[in-house]
Amino acid sequence: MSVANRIVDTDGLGTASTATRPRSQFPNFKQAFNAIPDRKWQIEVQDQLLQYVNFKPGWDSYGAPPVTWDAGMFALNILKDVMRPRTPIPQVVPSSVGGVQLEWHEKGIDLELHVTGPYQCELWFQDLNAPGTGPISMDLTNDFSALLKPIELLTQR
Amino acid sequence: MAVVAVEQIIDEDSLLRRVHPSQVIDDKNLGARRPSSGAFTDTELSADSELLLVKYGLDLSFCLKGYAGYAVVRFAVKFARSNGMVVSHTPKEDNPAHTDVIGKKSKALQRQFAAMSEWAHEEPKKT
Repeated sequence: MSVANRIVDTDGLGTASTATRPRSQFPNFKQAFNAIPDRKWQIEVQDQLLQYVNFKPGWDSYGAPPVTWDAGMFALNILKDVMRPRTPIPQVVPSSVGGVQLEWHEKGIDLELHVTGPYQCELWFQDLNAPGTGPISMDLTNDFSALLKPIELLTQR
Repeated sequence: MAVVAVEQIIDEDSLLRRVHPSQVIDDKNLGARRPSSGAFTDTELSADSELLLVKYGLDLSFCLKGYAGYAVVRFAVKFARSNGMVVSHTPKEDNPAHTDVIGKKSKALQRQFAAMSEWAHEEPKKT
């Protein structure tokens, strides 16, 4: 195979060759791949939130109110701030008190964020792969930096 | 049906609670589906006493009547009380076994309820 047909990524980590793709079309593939936001999560989360705010009162069979618009939108805004392109999509769960819970239970991470209203959140985080370190449980109001490490772990593992 | 007399809920009893399908999650760390901790946030958490269901000639099907698609979990009265909850029989006209698990539940305790619950009725996952 001639050298002219070989494509090398900018990190030099691998090569691919094709006779049909000019080398100049993919000079920064890896950089672009990681930079493109993955909006699939936003569509999925919004669809679920829309469903939950439209639940009828008593949807859980015990009188639970539907998720409030405020809680849903605040939860969505938190995600917009912390989600990375490769962060797993959270499971979105309506709570029995009108809040919404964003949950991740994978890669040895247990992460739950219960949002009951704007600036009214409760965080639970435990790294099951770090024995000896206890769970973190805390109220979050306007500082959500405590979410960054768990999200980083979820994204990188 | 008239409201039955209030009875003592004994420690050896177990409680059945319905779980809406939206509150059943996939826990990949456990490799299993389980109830979310979000299903246990109520300060007055409603459930049905299994012993009282039996006493009044009822069973799990009573808990699910009119609630197609819901799952049901079971947890021990002893577990609830050992975590500071008050478990009281609060019968209703249409439910002689109705019981409340009363007390503020921290996130840690909500998670324990989720972990300690076992499926009495599990719905298949919708694809």
